[in-house]
This record gives sequence, C-alpha cells and structure tokens, in this order.
Amino acid sequence: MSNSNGDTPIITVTGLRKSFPNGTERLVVLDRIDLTVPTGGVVSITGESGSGKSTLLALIGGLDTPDEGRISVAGMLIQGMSEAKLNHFRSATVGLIFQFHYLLRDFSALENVMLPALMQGCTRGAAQERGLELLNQVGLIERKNHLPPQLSGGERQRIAAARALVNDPPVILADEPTGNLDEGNSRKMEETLLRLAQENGKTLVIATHDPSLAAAAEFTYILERGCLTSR
Amino acid sequence: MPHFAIASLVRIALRFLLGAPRTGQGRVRLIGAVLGVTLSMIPLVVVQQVADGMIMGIVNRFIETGTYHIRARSRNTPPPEELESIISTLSAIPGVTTVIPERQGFGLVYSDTGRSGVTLRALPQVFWDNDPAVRDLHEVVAGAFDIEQDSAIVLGVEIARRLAVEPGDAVRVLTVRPVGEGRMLPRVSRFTVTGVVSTGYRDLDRLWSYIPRARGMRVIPDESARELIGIKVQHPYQLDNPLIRRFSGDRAAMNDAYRQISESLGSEWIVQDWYHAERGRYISFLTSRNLLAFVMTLIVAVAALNISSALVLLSVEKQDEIAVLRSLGASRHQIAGIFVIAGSIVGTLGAVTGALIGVFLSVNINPVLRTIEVLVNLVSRGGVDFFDVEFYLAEIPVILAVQPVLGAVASAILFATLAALIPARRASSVLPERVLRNR
Repeated sequence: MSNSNGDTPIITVTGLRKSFPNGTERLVVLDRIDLTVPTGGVVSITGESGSGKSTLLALIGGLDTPDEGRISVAGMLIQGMSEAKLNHFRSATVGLIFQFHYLLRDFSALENVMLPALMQGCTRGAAQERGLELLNQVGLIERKNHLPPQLSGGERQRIAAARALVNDPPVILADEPTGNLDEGNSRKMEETLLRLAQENGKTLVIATHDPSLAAAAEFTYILERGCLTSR
Repeated sequence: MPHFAIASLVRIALRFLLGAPRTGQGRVRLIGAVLGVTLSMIPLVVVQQVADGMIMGIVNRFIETGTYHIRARSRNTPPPEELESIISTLSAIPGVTTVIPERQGFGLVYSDTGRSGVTLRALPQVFWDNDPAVRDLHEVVAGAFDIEQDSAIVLGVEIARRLAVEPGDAVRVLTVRPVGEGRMLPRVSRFTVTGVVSTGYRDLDRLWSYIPRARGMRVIPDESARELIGIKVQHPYQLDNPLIRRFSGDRAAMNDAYRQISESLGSEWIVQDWYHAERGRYISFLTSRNLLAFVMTLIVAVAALNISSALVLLSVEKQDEIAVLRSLGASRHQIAGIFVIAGSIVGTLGAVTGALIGVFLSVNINPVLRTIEVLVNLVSRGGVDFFDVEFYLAEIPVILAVQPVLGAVASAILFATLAALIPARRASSVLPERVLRNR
C-alpha cells in the first residue's frame, strides 16, 4: 500500500514483515507492509488491539527490528544501522510519544522535556531554552517545575509531546497518545499534537483507536490481520 | 554522534540516587550505601594513623635514645686517642649533628631488696647535655640525669622500681669477665643512684642503666663489651629505609653523609643506619602495618560490594526509566556511565566522610580511648587500662599523615567504581523496546 500526494516521502516502508514467537510457532503481526508517508503529512493508523499498530511504529522508530523488509526514514535506511547510529536516529530523527507518558518521575516537567536534548550533547542552557519554548507551546509553562506525579494524565501526555519535539526531529511517532485519557483531555491532546506538527512542520504518524483523532489525519490506514489498507 | 555531557550523566545519577529534590525518596537508599563505605573507612584510617603513630613513636624513641641514627661498631676496642680523632672527623661531616662514643655491656644491678639484669650504657655526660632529642624523650622521674661522677648511675624507671631504690641510694653492679674454658670472673662495682628516667617505653625502661663512660671502660670487660659510636644526622628518616618515608629533608645529602661516615671509619668498623641496625624489629613493624592495612582494605572492598548490590536494586527499580532513556536515544555506554558515576558518588561521599571521621578520631585517639576506658570501667566496675605501659607506649603518638588517607580515599572510590560495573552492565543491557512491553 502506498500513498503519495506528490511530496517527497519522508518514510518509506517496503515489504515489512514482523512475527513474534507464539509457543512452538510464530505469530505474524505484520505481513509485507508497504507504506509511504509524505513529508509534513499527518497519517493515522487504526486497528484493533493487538493488530500490530504499536509494532509498526516501534519498527519505524528503530526500537525493534523487522524479520524482513526495509524502512527508510528521512533518507536513512534503518536496517543495518550500527547501534550508535540507531541511538542517534532515535534521538534526532524521530520523536516518540507513547500511550503511557513515560516521563521520568524524579525529573521535573522541564527536565523531562530537556533530556533528549541533553542526550544529543546540547548545552544545558540551550536545552532549557528549547524546553521552555515547547512547554509554552503545549500550554504548560507554569507547570515546568512540577514532577510527573503532580500533573494530570493530560498534562503528562502534553509534556511527553513537548519532549518528542525538543530535538526538532522531522518525524513524530505517536502510539495511542490519547489511549489513557478521558474525552476532554483526549481532544486537548489531539489539538496539541496536530498544532505542534503543523507549527513545527513535522510529519506525524499516529497509531490510534480514537476515531476523532484518526479522522483528523490527512491519511488514514487500517491495520487488520497483518495487512495495511487505506481507508 | 550524540553524547551526554558528563554533567548531565552526573545529574541523572544523582537524581536516580536521591530522587527528586525535596522529596527525600532516595535518601534512605543513598544513606545506606554511603554508610557502608563510611563505616569501613573509619577503622582503615584510624588503624593507618595509629599504627603509623605507634611505629613512629617507638622508632623515634629507639633511634634518639638507643640505636642512634647511624651506629658504628668496632671490631676491636680502639685506643682513646684514636677514638677522639675519629669523633672529630665524623663531627666534621656535613649533615652530622652529634657523635657519641658508647660502650655497652650486660650486668646485674642489685640492691638490698631486688635485682635486675640490665644493659649497661657507658656514656659521656654530653649524651644528655648536648642532645635535645635525648632530653625530650626521657622523662626524669627522680633526681637528675647526672653521670659526671665516677660512681654515678642513672636507672630506668622499671629497674629502680624493681630494686626499690631512689636517688642517693647505693646499688651494686655485677659484671663478669670470661677467662676461658667456660669460666667467668665476677666483678662487683658500687654505684650511687643519681637519677631515675623513663623513655615512655616499658621494654627500654627495664633494660637501660647509664654509667659514666670512663667507669664503663673498667667495669665492662673488653671481652663482652660492645664499643660503638652513635651518630645523629639532620634528617634520619631520609636515610634508606622502607618503614618511614614521610618528612621532608635532603635524602641525597643524608645518604651522602652515611657514605662518608662509612668511608672515614674503614673496614675496622661496621656501620649501620637505624633501620638496618634493628632490621628484624622494624620488618615485623612493617609486616604488621601492611597486614593491618590489607585487612582493613578488604573491609572497604566488602563495603564496596554493598554498593554493588544497592545499585543492582536501583537498576531493577529504574528499568522502565532506563528503557525510556534508551528509546530517547541514550546509548548503552551512557546508561552504564550513569551507574558507574552513581557508584563513584556513593564511594566518594562514603570515603570522604569516613576519612574525615577517621582523621578526627585518630587525632583525638588518646582522649577517645580514655573516654571509652572510663565508660567501660563504669560498666565493668574497673579493671580496664588501655594505657597500661605494658602495652608499649604510655600515650599513642599521632602524627597525621595525609598521603595514606588520600590513598585510602582513592582506593575506596576505586572499589566503589569497580563495584558499580556489575549494575552498570546490567542496566546497560535494558533494551529500548522494553517500553513497548509495559503498555
């Protein structure tokens, strides 16, 4: 399955296959998936729980390796990357947002946002400046010194979104970003994500159950029985 | 290539150890690990300092009051005029401060109430008058150190106690001259006690009796006498020795003085520096000290293992956060670095705290022991005496040596850092995809 609106593709997935051990056999989760995401596009991938949405995002994000196929992001082929290059890829090329915020509980909101920048070798001053800017964008500047346990679920998720953007990666991968939020917070997160992507010129790939969030994307795909189809 | 600046790694390590500021979450964990190192460092530093102090105290007493810095023993008794010439030659050597001729022999000192086998030291009065170190290290318990008169004798305090004599009392000295075929010719000489002295070292106080050199030439028979020249130099601890290496001074100049002394005296004399003159005794000091340091270092190493287990627990507790860091681009080395730094932080805090407490206790070891002695005696209703002179010295001399303390601190930090390698390796093996499994 491919999609192109004529823009340069930033993500190209070809013949992607991924299986997991299941007793004595292997369970095929993704079976020869093809996907092209244009630069600056907003793509949603929907599907039932266990259909492989998160697995697909993890493979694109370099968190896991496929059995077969090729994944190219921002002109870089993930397969065959050294561990060091893969670390750099995860830090600088993709920004990850998970269903659970995964903020470090002993670090303040601002410090959590700054972490990927510091890992990139950014100076503390520059990381802080960028972090404050992003907290402002997600409307949580006044909560910068709060620890994750002192924040609401929606606030944590918006801070996770800010963290994903701190290194200015061209691609944001959001795995069920509203999955743990109530309706009100889900809409707020949806608005934040789409606005951040638009304001910062990012390509956004969202794996979601949320029909509203899926509908807000330019391109929607359904992942079913290992196959990806365009809606 | 992304890299964490060391400052960022340190910040994360501290946050992992301490938790967020003002929450106090990690304080118990940190205090526990630090305390282990601190408690192991205290005895190491105290033992180091006290052992060094004891050794210094004993060595100092020996070399200043007994064996001298350099000792020359003649194979034969030299004629007086030759001895005078040798003394003036040696006195002119740069670095030499004192030259004293001494004749030693064994005798039995007895009074109406007791007797004691002693080493008779026949010396000129200048031994006392011209050497401040000799006066500093002898306490005149009664009378004066006066061996000007031919019949004068100064006794060690333990000998005087055994004989129940005091200045003004008469004692007799029995010496024997071997006359061949296993026969001995006894000689009894009468002396008057002029002084009772203490070196502060019980072994010496029951051994040494001082008599005038001229009288000693008659009383101590040539056949059993040890004729020696005691030489003191400006910096005795710069003479070649493996026991005491601290203190400043010109090592080359001292060794040059030693060489000149040997050359001046020729083959008729056996010249030894203070260490080699009592080598057996000092080797046992050295071995004891090194063994103590080794045992104490082992304790520090065991405490470092405690750090390892604390950090392993931390790595298990922080697995999810490590996976998040990895998914955000942190490398295995960076994660390992966080834990190695955490180990170093714990080791440094524990080592420095332990060293400071250890130094404080060492410097105040005498009042500390006295306080413990009082408390123990309160509980046990008396009978405990840590400062019984039977145990070498009446007071533990403490001369703070910074270098061994720094060495101990460095070792503890090294052990802690090495101990952190195991949890560091464990933490760095956490894979970024772990974040996917925790949904």
